[in-house]
Amino acid sequence: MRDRIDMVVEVPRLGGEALLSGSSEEPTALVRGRVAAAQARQSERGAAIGVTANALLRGDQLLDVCQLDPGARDALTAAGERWHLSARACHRVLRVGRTIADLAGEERVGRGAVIEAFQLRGQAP
Amino acid sequence: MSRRCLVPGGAGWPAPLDDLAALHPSLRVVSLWVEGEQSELPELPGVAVVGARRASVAGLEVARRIAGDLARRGVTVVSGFAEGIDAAAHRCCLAAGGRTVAVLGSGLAVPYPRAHQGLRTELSLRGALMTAYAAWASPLRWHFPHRNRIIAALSLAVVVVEARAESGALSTARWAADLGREVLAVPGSILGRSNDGSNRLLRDGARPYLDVADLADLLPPSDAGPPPGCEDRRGRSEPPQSSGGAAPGQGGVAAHLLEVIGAEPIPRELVARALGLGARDLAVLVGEMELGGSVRTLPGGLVQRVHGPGGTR
Repeated sequence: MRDRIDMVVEVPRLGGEALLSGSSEEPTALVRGRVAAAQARQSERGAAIGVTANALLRGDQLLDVCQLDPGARDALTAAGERWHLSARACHRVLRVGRTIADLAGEERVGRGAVIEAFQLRGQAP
Repeated sequence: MSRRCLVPGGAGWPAPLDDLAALHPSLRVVSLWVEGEQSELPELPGVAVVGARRASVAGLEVARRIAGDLARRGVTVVSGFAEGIDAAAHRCCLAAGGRTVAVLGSGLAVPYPRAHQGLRTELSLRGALMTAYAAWASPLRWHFPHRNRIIAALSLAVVVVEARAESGALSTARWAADLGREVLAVPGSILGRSNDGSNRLLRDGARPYLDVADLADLLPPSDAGPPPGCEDRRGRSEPPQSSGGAAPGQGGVAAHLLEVIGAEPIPRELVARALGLGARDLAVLVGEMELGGSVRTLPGGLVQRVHGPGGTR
């Protein structure tokens, strides 16, 4: 079941104090800009293979699209072994990792993006 | 900056110190150097909050809470100006508008610990620094037990937060017991060793500290002040000193992270705050370490140190 969920993010409850203190987080408009850029990158890259979003990438297309660097490849293998991940789970991690790299404007999916994608799966099984 | 020397029976001399001489004449404190801009010392005896130098984030949070509660009740927080628990207690007391006294194991002219110069300025403006040592005395190892008994003497009660079995905070607790002061300890996890000392105090009859009500019979009745959280919301004690220009490698941060996470699982936000990391950087760091097997993430956004086969550290 967990295999079918890409990301689990726990959000701590905010106290009234925190709400009122008006801490300056990133404005939504800025985030929207980044997301739009990442989407453009995805559809441009996917145009050749007829895929407009990372979520739609098939398993066999993923490795091509991700262009994992050696560190990222190591991390994926190590995590797969450590937590006995299914192929489906690995593919989901790659899709999320690809998206993280897109958001950061990176051509290849690096080790950091893969590791972050693993963290986003929620706590290790 | 105003420094002065107090002598027994003279103006400003804290009378509770004489209890040491009453215990044994050889323990008499013959002079006390004081640094502080205010002409009157914070009211003594206060309550001491002492504990580990290398404290966990959870321990620091506990120290802050205790110090804030004491400050809001108008009780002077006494501690030893060391890194970790001591500094957190001083800081949060000041942040909550309270008064605090730091007892040093070195002379007033010696900038020790180096990282605390900001805190020192604040302390001398709104609290006081005290020492039995002359201006240029170094923080020598055997000064600290001596300093500990001054802390104990200046306090109605000593609260020990997160002390290992060999922690100096236990010597403060012993002196407190000898002087007839109340000894309290905050119960801690029995995983790992970071609470061994404080937990043993509990086993030996110290009063458990669960909240400030555990001190109620010792303190003047409170004016029921509002209980807002400690304003000192920083988890980090001081901005990290740049280590000689070189960018801190991940090894350094990883070691720091292990140090900061105690045996108990603690929330990610606390870790992020303590290390000054954003959510992404923390995810990558924790992910790497999880992959390496040194930490584990738990449901509820918690992270925990995984103990190697060799023991707890």
